[in-house]
Amino acid sequence: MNLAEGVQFVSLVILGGLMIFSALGVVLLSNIVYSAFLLALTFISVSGLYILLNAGFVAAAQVLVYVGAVNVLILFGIMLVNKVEVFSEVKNAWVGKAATGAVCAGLFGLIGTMVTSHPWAISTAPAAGDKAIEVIGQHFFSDFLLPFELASILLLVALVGAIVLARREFLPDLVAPQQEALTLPERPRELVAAGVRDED
Amino acid sequence: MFVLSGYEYFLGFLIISSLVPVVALGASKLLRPASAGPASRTTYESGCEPIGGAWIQFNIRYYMFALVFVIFDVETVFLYPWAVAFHKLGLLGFVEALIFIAILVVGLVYAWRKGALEWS
Amino acid sequence: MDSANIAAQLNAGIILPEGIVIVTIMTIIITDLIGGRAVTKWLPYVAIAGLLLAVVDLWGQWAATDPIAFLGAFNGDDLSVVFRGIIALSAAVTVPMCIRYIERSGTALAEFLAILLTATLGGMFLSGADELVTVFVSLETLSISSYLLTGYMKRDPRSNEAALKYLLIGAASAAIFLYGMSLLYGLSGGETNLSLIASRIAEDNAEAPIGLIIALVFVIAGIAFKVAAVPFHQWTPDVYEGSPTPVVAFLSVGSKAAGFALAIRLLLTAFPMVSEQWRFVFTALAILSMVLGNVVALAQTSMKRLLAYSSIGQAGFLMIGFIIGTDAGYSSIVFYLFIYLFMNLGAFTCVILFSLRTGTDQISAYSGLYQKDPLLTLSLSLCLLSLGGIPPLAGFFGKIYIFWAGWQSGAYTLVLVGLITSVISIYYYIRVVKMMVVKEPQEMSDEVKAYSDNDWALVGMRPLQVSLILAVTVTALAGVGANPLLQLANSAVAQTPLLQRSVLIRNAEIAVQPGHESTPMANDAVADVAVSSVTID
Repeated sequence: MNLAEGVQFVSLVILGGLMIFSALGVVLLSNIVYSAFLLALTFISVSGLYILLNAGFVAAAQVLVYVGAVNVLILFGIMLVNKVEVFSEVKNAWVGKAATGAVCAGLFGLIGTMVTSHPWAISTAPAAGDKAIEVIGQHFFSDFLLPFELASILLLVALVGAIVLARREFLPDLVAPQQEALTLPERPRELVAAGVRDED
Repeated sequence: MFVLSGYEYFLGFLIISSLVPVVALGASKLLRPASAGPASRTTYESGCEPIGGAWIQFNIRYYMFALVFVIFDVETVFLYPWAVAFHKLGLLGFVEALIFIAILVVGLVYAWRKGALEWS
Repeated sequence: MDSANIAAQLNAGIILPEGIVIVTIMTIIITDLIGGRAVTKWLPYVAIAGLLLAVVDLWGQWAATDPIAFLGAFNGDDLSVVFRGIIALSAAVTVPMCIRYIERSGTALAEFLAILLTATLGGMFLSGADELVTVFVSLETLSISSYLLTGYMKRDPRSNEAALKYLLIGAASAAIFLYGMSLLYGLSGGETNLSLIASRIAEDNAEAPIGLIIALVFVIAGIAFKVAAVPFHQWTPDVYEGSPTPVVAFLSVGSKAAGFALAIRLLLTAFPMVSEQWRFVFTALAILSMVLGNVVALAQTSMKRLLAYSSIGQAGFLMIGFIIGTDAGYSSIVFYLFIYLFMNLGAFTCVILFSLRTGTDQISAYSGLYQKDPLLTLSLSLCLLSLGGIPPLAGFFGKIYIFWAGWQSGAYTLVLVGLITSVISIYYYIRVVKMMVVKEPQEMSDEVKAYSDNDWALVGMRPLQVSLILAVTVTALAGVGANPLLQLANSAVAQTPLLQRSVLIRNAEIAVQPGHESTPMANDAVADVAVSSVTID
């Protein structure tokens, strides 16, 4: 085992352990803010795995999009609703938990057996290495052009839909002054160009 | 199998950088005098008393900005390979990227006009 | 690869109908931004015009000589043309239904139309997607737009609940589907094109590897969620009850048709090695869907929930045509989807009209409606009876074609279950009709007593009326004039190389089955027999 392989193995063990424990923490901790931060840790360790697989661009994208944007959004979402609610204890909750655990363990066993037993056809093509980003770019504009352009429509509609759902409808009779600081007022309907609302 | 040998340095960097907080905290633990008065348990030992919890309800505007940021972050990630491979893609690639950007500019204008980017 | 070469290979003319839809979406958003309130009322007509133009252009794409576009990412064969047409038409019929509904709820119309058209676009791309990445991106375009539409009435807690349930279950099923796709990618040694995946897996393995079966199960879970087949149906009743009714109408037709298009293309292209297995799984899904959908519908008190369970049952009927895998089977799916489009949208238009006037969806509220509004009663009765399969309405011909195709290829169990559950379904449809027609004036519900139908002059009511009359007319007459539709369905199947290859294999399988004497007939003969057997009945 030369140095490079040793380094890779040690990194794999560290990243894998980090990922598993932080992912378990996301699911098992009762404080949702801790879960959100641990989720960021999970994303970071996944991006470390991508680096180990020589996918530097994917790793960077993972950190940029998931840790930098999605996880921040999740945190803001949590802080936005920040209501402490006391849930009543569900009777016999352990039955559901045990069943879930059994199903997950069974699925894990099945997939694990499949992964280890199948002779995977590993590509013999040389790794792109530092050229990977360029290769990805060329794929984006040749055989993956259609999904690439469709992704822009998907992003557009996600933006439009998110704004429609997140903004507060302008209701003149319901505007309370103390609410105004915490919510986003929608512009009057004349400006947002919605339809005429007639009486019926 | 492991073709990018440069990542050994990355791992070394990672180990050193994760040692920094451990060493800093451990050293201060060894060096500082031990005291267990009630004042050392407060958030700011010699500052103001903090009022209320730190987990307050956030303004929805943060959320709107984060939301718009997610979309345009993804757009950036998509456009980066295009910029790197630009000289190989030629005019057709330029036109295709222009379509991509044009569609998302409509989204930006939408967000702008509907007041999602306004603070007050 | 130089750019001129790529430009020639893209063959972008194949996706011109989708291009038209994209331009329509952009037009709607930009017009709404610039024009403001004054132009908003014209936007639905822009949307309808765009969709109809796309349908017309699809007609021009019929029997394209070179259907492969975008270097294999998209396949514009006749199967995809038919399904894209069905999805675009279902959206075009949905748009007039939603104008009044959106007006009443006080939400923005332009965004609703843009999101609805994006869902349509996702469905259209999904029908022709021939490559894993395209499949997933178009599936997500359809799904994310559907979640947004479901939660569009954000001040209505039921709509919020429906959107949240749909989002959570949908995201979970998309994740499972994606896992199955990643297995396909790995098993084929890094291919994303569906036919290349199949050939690579067949080269590397003498018999189906266990990974392929796991991939199949995961992929079926994703598809069954989209078409709402039992046991992946749990979201359906709650989502149908809570979401805005025009959205439900689109989900029950457009989204379902896209799911079937995906199922046919993905399973036939990428999983030929395990065709026995997926036929078996789908047989189970079909029987469960028919039985559970139709039996649970008996106990419903809300009209939207009734239609939700009925749509689950209808998905079960459609699956019969897919399982038998003959020429007649596939063309019966296309034929039935066309008819289902109009009868189901017609039923939903009636539900919208009734709930706009009374504000309720309860079945008991419909009692005595005949006294007050004969037109609505007649329309709803026709659509419901057609859904149940009463002759001479269109639904009867669709169902008889599916059952006949199934019987021909020896799927006796499926056809028998289908027949029995059809009879059950007739019971609950007729219960509603009886509620509307037979009641004495003193048994009239309070809602109907306060009913008035002189609101046709209000904004958005005329388009609703047009949509209703169109749907009901087609439902009433499509069965009698079914020949062009049948020919369309038959030639779509005959001109699709993908289907023809699998039909040849399937016919050979059926011919060697014990206890089955008659060999399947030629395509045209099949159609003729179908029509004659139908008219004799």
